[in-house]
Amino acid sequence: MRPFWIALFIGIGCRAQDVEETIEPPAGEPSNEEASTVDETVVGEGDLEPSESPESRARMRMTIDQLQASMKHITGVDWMSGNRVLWDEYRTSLGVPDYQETVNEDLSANVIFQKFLQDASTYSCQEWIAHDGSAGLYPFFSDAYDEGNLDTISDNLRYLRRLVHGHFPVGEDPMIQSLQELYTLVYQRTEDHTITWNTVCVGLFTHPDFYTY
Amino acid sequence: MKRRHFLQGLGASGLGLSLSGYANLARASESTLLDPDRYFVFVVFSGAWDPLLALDPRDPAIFSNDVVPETQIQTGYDILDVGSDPRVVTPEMTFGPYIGDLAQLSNQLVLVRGMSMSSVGHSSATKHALTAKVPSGESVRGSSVSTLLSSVLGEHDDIPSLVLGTKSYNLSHPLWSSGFQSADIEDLHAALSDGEVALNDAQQDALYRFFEREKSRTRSNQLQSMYANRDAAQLLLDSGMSSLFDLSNSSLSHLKQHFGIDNGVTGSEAENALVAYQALTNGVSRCVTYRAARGLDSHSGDDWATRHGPRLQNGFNSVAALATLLEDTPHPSGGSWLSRTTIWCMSEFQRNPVMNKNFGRDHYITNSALLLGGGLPGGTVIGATSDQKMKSQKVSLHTGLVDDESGVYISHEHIARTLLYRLGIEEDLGDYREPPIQALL
Amino acid sequence: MNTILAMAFVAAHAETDPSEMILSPTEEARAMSIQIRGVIPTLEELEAIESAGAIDESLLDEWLASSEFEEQVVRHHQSIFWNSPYQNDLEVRRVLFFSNGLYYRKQTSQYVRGQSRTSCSDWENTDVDQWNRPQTVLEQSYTQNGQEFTYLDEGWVWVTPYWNPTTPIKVCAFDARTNPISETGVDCRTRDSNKDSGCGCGPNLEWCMTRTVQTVYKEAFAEELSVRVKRALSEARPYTDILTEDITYMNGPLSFYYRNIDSYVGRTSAPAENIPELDYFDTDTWVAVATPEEHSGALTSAGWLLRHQTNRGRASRFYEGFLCSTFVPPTGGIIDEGLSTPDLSLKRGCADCHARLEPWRAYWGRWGEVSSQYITESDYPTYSENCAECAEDGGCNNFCRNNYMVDPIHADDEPYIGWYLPYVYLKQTQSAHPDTGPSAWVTDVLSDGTLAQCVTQNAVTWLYGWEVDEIDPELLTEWTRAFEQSGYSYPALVKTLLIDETYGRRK
Repeated sequence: MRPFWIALFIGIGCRAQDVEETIEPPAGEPSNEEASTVDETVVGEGDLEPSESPESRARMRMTIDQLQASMKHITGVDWMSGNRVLWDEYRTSLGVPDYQETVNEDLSANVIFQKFLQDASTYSCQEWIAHDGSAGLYPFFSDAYDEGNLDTISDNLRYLRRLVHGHFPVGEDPMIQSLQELYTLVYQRTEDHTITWNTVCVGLFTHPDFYTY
Repeated sequence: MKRRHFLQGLGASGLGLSLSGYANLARASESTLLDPDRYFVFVVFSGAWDPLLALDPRDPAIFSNDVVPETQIQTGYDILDVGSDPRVVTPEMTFGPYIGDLAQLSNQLVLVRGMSMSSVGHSSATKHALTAKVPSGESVRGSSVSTLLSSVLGEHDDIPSLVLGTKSYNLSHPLWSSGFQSADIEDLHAALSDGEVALNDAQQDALYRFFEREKSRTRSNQLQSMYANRDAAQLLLDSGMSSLFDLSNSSLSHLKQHFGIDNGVTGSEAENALVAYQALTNGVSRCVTYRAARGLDSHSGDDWATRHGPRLQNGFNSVAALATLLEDTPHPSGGSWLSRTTIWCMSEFQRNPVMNKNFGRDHYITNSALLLGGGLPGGTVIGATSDQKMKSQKVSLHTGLVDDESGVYISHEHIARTLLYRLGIEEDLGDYREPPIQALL
Repeated sequence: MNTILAMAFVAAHAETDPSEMILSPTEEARAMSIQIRGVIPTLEELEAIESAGAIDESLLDEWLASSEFEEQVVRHHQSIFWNSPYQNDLEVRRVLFFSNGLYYRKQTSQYVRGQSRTSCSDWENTDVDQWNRPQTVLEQSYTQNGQEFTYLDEGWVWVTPYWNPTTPIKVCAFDARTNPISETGVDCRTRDSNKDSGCGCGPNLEWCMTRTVQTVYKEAFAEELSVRVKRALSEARPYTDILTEDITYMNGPLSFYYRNIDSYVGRTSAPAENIPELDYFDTDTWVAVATPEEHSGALTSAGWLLRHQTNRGRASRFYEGFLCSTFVPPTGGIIDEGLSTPDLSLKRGCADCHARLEPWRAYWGRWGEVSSQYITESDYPTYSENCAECAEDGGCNNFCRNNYMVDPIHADDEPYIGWYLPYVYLKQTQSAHPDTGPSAWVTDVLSDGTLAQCVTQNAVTWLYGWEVDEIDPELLTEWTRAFEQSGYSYPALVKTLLIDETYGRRK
């Protein structure tokens, strides 16, 4: 058992050293176009043979219930169509067990999961922005969100990153730059803040930093 | 955007370079194919079927209730409302009372009887059936046969392996050959259609670029797979194939009529068969796996007597409807689609030939399988169960006949290996460690 | 492994994953919250952790004491219990089917109307007595394949069902009857009435159910297993209570079921007394009810017994779910060869697994298969002189043929002639298993530590996402010991795993 990070008493057990050791892969140059390389495949997710005893736990995907609860926790809405909750509607396809035919939840982030996650995100983000977006610390709608005020936009992106991903970076957060570029690209083409923030919101919810832990 | 572009795009990750060796080897295997225009349908009867009701019946005059203590075989036909001898006899083979329309195709069927299973637990036995490898406890030890065959044949298909209502496994094959798993046709249609609230092109394009950047920041295989699946979901959306699986689409009305959908008789198994037809003949998929029956685990007498048979029959009827339609559909390269499509009906194991005291049937270690299409020698029966307790018997792989001296016990592995051989692949790609059934080559 | 697969393996694993990272306190708290509360932390919680630079232990304790934690533990255990009883095992003859606007019992039609699966016709029968018994009945006929068939047609009456007291429905009059005793003297509250032509579904149809209502009961049986888990946590009792306590839990639907329908089913084991008077619609109130001593917690609950229908299936699930072991078939599959012994614990090809499984399945020997009824010694004696005698003389009745060894087919059967089947082939040291029940097995595996180790292992795979073969045996032993020393406190086990430094590193 490690003794160091749980603050048994207030002020004891700070883990700043460990945080400094966090490994972030270097941010590569964004690829402008599809690269013309020879590799063609990603191999299935299972292992053929056991790996050695790990010293770290696995990155895991949220269950559908956890995903539904967490998305609702942030946006205040469920993924709905009329009066139907679509998380329930697609439960079987999303790998939720019925304990008759299936007894374990499929926690792979497979293709159908990605599709329905995007649908859920798009719906929830729209509803969130329409109803509650202005109630947050950094409201989605603000006169400051014009092209000349990137700091305000960045602040809001950092806020959303904390809110949705729970990410409190030490030093520069490379994703903020990606989100800024996402914001800029959409705004340039649509000149619509609502659509732009909606896109950012969908990007955050469909990112592995949200649905894995 | 085409799949090829997307897959090549993965090169930026740095992951793919190390995989090129595998890709080259896969292509080498592909070059040995006798004919690349081959397709497969795996039909799953979930819950363990009763062969006495369809694939492996017994004469009730010989196997009467009086001799059950000796034969350890209790047909149960007297309990059902099916007549005194309900067997369906064709020139090629004899079936039980719930074979349904499939009996009319008996000259095209291959029955494999007396197979030996590894488990009578539903979960592990189903994994064995789908992967043709005995699992280690609950852990699969190989990819689904559909995944393996898709990896060999389906690189250019949109959904190489489509799976409805059951599971799929991919341990070592390219991600694109993983089963696309959907519960039913409605969910499949939804997965291929825009959501009620959809993103516009500008949003989608920007998100694509955003995730390309994110992808380039990680070297984790796991995250790469997630990003690749996200891209694949988007590509499928762009493909515009959802109308192929839209039951409200009027252009599907003749198919719905053929499969008996909307006549109140059929259930999801007919819809699944329709999906299989659409996916294969429209170039969407190379392999389709669908569940043709569920709830076959009839330990109770009520369940066995009232539901088991009809559920089997609905499943077999769905296969018959699929096969006849494939036969009536010419393939662009010649012959019918059925001549190029092998259908493999399976269940995890069979039910006990002796009823329990509730007049239901418990689990039993023997099994049967049914194959048709793909140029297989129809009207063939491979192997047999014994007339005492329906035990597995050794079979000559060359003749398909029972051979206690030099035969072997047949299992899923032999059938999977046979499918590979029939493609011209003699190498044991699936590590099945069993030879093919020569009588079917 | 063949060449191609070997290459694929090398390709897939040639590069070590460089993204292993040490999580920050906020990232770690997020993971913990998702796993033990089912939702991400609030921003305020994260900001407090970020500000403090660590997770305060009291916060973790608070989370572990929450109802959200109970819910997550329940969900983890659903993948162990497989909470989904077979609905069809709840007596289909008490089910009212709906067809053409009318409710009727399909499976009893042959007894009451003279034709199987036949409904009444759509006409209101107003000529009924105080028990809803129709005084006017029509004789109908139809011709099929040249043969004429007749049946009785009694029409329908209005009834207000207990599951929807505000909306009367049309029920075929024979099925709407409320008389307590039939014309032939059969008690309409007993199982014998299932095949009697003179009994119906009672006042407000209380002795019957629709398919939908049947689902309500099924789900309540499934939830009862979860209530056991929740109660052990909320009452800070040892985890092992889940598998040993002589208690069942009832909510409104289950109390209604036990009071009104269980007697017909003969398949669920209702406690004889103290069934609480809860309203049918009260699904959220769960009352603990003492059960007889033969019970063994979840392992003899209706939810478990109706999901795992055979005694071998029950033993196998316990072996896999609570002892973390599996039966591995011999290479080449299982072959049932020749006319060897019918004793699976000795039979070649079977003994590898069944030498262990047969004595274990015997722990459920006095629990009916496809049933949750306890089978008493008085109803089914361990040894029956009568059945032994008829085995010698011939002419055994169905009771003996179905339940006792009366038809020996092998010399190994001979010593067991006249014995109740669950006892057959048991060795002397195992012969008490049906009488002790599964609690004796639990006691054994508790004392040798295998149960605690498996519970720990299950928690590790849940919280760490590891495959079983990735678990370091030394770590597992260490964590198991801590679990045992905590008095089998499940929250303590989870806490041990969460505060281990391994949890703070992620691949």
